[in-house]
Amino acid sequence: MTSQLTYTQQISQVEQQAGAAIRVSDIVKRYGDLTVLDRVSLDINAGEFITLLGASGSGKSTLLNIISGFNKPDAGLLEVDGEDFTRRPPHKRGLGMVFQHYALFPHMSVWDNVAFGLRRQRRPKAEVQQRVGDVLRMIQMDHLADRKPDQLSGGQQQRVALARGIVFEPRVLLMDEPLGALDKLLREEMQLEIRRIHQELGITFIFVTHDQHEALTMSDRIALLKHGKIVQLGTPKELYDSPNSRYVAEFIGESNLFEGRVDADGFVTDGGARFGRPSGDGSLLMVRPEHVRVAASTEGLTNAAPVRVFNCVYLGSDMVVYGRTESGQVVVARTPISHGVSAPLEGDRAVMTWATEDSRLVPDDAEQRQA
Amino acid sequence: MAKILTRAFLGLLAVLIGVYLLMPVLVIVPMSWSESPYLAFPPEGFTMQWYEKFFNDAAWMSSLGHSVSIGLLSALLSVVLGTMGALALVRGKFPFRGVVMGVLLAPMIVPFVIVGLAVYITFLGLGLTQTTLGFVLVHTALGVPYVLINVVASLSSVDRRLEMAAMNLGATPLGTFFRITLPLIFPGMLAGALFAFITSWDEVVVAIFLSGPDITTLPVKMWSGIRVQIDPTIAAISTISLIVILAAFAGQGVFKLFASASERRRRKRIVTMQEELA
Repeated sequence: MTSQLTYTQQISQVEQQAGAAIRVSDIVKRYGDLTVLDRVSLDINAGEFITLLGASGSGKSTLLNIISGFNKPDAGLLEVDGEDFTRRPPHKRGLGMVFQHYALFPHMSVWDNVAFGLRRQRRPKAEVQQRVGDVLRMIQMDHLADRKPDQLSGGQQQRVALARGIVFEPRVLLMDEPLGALDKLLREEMQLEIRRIHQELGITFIFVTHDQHEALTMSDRIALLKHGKIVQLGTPKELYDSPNSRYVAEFIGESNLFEGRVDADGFVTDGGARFGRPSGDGSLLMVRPEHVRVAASTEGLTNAAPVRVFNCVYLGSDMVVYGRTESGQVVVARTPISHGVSAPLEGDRAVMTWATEDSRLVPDDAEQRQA
Repeated sequence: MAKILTRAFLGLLAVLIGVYLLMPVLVIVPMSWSESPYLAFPPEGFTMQWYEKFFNDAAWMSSLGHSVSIGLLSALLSVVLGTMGALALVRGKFPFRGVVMGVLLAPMIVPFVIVGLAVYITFLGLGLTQTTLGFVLVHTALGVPYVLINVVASLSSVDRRLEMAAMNLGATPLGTFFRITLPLIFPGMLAGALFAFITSWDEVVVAIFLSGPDITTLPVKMWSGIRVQIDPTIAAISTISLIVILAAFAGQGVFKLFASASERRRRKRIVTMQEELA
């Protein structure tokens, strides 16, 4: 997404769009003394794949439930294509949803599960047959249409839940940790499948997960939530390359963070080491492990952190080297394995180095709060 | 060796307990076809005359009719009220739910004599003694706890997300209940209704207070009959009463069979539908 339209521009384009634009304004949700959502605002573009990412208790599921209508906000406004949805009951919203653990109706066949929404909308019988048949073929489940959910594998149930959510052509599909119960291989397969369906349908997808890898793989944009607030909103690349706080840097991917300050000549760590000054602002220098190289000596290097290697992990494609500087700072390097280069051994002395343009300054969390 | 002895002993114990529990049935049922004019065990000969006597006696027939109609009505009312109560207790959000549950279950624990006396005094003033309505009201109160326990149990195992999914797909709250919740808790409701019916069918103590010349239930009539004359008619009635209860349980089994049969038909229908499409 290079050029994002504004919300109002989007609304004027609604006629041509399959997906709906959603505007969340100053939503507040409290449970007793606990504030789960604290004045959250978010503009979701029509046809966008947006992920609400966060640890448990960050409020991501609550926000999704406010959009689906199962939760009523204490304050704030929810608009879908300019219409006020804040108080509308769930069954009158017409938004598709894939639930955690799928929530397939156990007493109905796959066919009846998928047809449920169309039948509630009183679509003609022929249309119901046509659409259910089509969508089951699309997810390659047409041969299992007469099975009950408990006769299906986890991956098959997942696909049926997806089919049930999209068969009535909603403008928005909400997904609440839909891949949580699948094993790793199947999860990666489904990520691509969901991505493909999103591109095919062109509707708005709102995806909730606590898995940053999933968020990076699938999303157009990610909203990272923490304690009921969006800490950063942006494309996966923006969140990964230029996190706006320590929390984001640590949540998305792995990172080496050096505490220190910028002076006239560069960046000085609290431990006294001196590195080149990268772009960005803040008192943390971040460099991702895949940008760190292991060198033999500090000679001729702008950025050099001498370490003693204390762990070395072989991952097949990569090698991860863990070193500790004299001041106790852990530095991690992740390098592709190339034959002929011997791996450092545990206890070896080595130098961790990186190019200044691969590092970045990140505000520490306290600074961000002041800003 | 010791193992075999233990097994033999446990087997014997199990058989003895089984015989002990079935004793009333094993004694009463054979007595009902005895030719002896008195209740005698073991039975002498074979005759159906006591059954004939029962079915030809207008008084017995009237009490049988009352028992059936009171039993069915109170089971029906119990299952409707009990299910509504269970829904409120499991899905609702209000204070003192534990207390409400306790009060609703109280009829199971409060001695029937106390219930009977209280009901008698109250109903006398209201003109509800010796009426079907009076019986149904009391027996419903006694039946509701069984429905409540069964439905609360099955409702607790129904994932709330299923109801949310149905609403998300456009089902109204009422539609969601009838299409999703009800089918899933139906076995619990049926079991509750069965217990409510049996409670009413078998209930003597409160029924004695409410009975009179105009209206008696079968167990009350048996109780008063036994004091006047003891002949095998009473054994025949007991057997019939037992058959009614067994039939109720069998009915539940038949329902399960029927449900799976209609399920098979529906699957066939889906297969043909797909073939048409292909």
